[in-house]
Amino acid sequence: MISIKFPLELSLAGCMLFIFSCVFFLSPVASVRAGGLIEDEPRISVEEIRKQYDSFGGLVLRAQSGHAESYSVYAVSETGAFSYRQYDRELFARIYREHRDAAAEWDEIPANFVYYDGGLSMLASASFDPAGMYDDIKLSAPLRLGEKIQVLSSVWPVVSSLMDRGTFELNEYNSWTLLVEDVNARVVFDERGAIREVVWGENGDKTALVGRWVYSGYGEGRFLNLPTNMVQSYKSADQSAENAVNSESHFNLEFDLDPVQVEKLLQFVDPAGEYSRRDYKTQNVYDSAGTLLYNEEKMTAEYLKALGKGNPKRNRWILLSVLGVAVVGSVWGLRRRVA
Amino acid sequence: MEGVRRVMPGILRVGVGAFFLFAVVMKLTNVTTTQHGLETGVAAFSSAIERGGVVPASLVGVVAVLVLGLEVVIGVALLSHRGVKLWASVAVSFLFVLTAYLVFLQIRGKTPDCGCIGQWDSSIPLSIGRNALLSVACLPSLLVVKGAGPVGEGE
Repeated sequence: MISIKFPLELSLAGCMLFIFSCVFFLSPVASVRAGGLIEDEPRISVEEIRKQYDSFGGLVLRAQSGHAESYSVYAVSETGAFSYRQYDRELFARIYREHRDAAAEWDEIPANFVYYDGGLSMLASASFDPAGMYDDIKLSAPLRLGEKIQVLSSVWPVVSSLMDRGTFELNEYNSWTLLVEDVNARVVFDERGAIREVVWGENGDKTALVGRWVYSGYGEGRFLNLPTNMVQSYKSADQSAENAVNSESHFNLEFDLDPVQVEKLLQFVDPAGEYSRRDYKTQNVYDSAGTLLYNEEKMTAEYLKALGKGNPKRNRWILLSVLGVAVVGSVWGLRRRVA
Repeated sequence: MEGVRRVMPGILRVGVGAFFLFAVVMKLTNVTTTQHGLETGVAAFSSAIERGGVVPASLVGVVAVLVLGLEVVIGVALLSHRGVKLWASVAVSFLFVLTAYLVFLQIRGKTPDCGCIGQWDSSIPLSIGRNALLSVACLPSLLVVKGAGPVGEGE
């Protein structure tokens, strides 16, 4: 006969769910979604938001498209703030349609806006399906070796210029909403000035968040450490366009490298003549003088050593061995109890 | 057959406990590039929690340590075969909360994984299925068989 004693289990589950609910509803994301965390005063002023989206200093890179009427501008400030603007005539025309004159304005106003402030706080948006996006960008200025460009991005047309044309209103969460009537856009900022929601379209009912690009891992680790005199261009393409709305898009990056430089610096020859992400995976990167600049494994090990993190792989095997012994001991104890 | 019936709850419990500890090991020894750069261990797990967007950024470190600590305690307790019902119920409760979190992440659709098993992490739907299996594996330890008494019944 089987019976189950529930009170203890239920009370524990209840406690855990209560804690979880507290964490959830007190979090910034949930507060916007669930309508909690009402404050008396806005946490950030309109002036601060304007400043946040308008001021970019530091390194500026300009990347010219190789196949279309478009170019991109990267800006990295000394504080790590990062901006990316894409000027694309076709994109501009598609976004603004009859509202703007693409022929006259496309190279003055970015059609594709990306902003990353170093704190994961900004997601940008646009009203179009990124399936149509395909960048083929010529780098006209080299990135500095080891320079950090980690992009959290998506596509949002012209936040800064919209600010000049729209009006700010306090919303029900005491943060700000930017209303731009002539393009039917409403931009909701959170308490830190990050864009939390964009509603777009003639009916005002289309959520414009289309995703974000995360150039981390591969993008950050490899691209930034590559001597960029090898890089002729790079390409990115969205592979998850069907899930683009409110999802994190996954982009493949491909690098079009200078074959002569690649062969010289990486000692690598590609018979097909196509140097791509897959092709240029290498442990070693050299500068033009043949000096080893970067060895991935060594660099990672040195970095971890500098951080005092030891050797995680070795520690993993040690810990797994201990776990194995514990499991054997547990089974042995179980056997004794059965006996 | 009777022997198998008697020992099965214990075997499942060992499996669940081992999995909890395995997850801890994988998280502690994880080396990955996150939104903050190359990170390891608790820092990498904290970043994974931060990407989830549920926990405020200022608390992710504390939550990461709490989760890891709880997993260690549950794992060791399940392997020890003491307080079987108590720890099986704690494990199920923990899995329940974790699954609710995963469902939230899946609905929101912005995070591809939860960082639960470090570099061996799977997609969120698979993680939800895994948690369901682990919960089911805990159930025999929650059942009381009068007259027979499951092995390790320590309460």
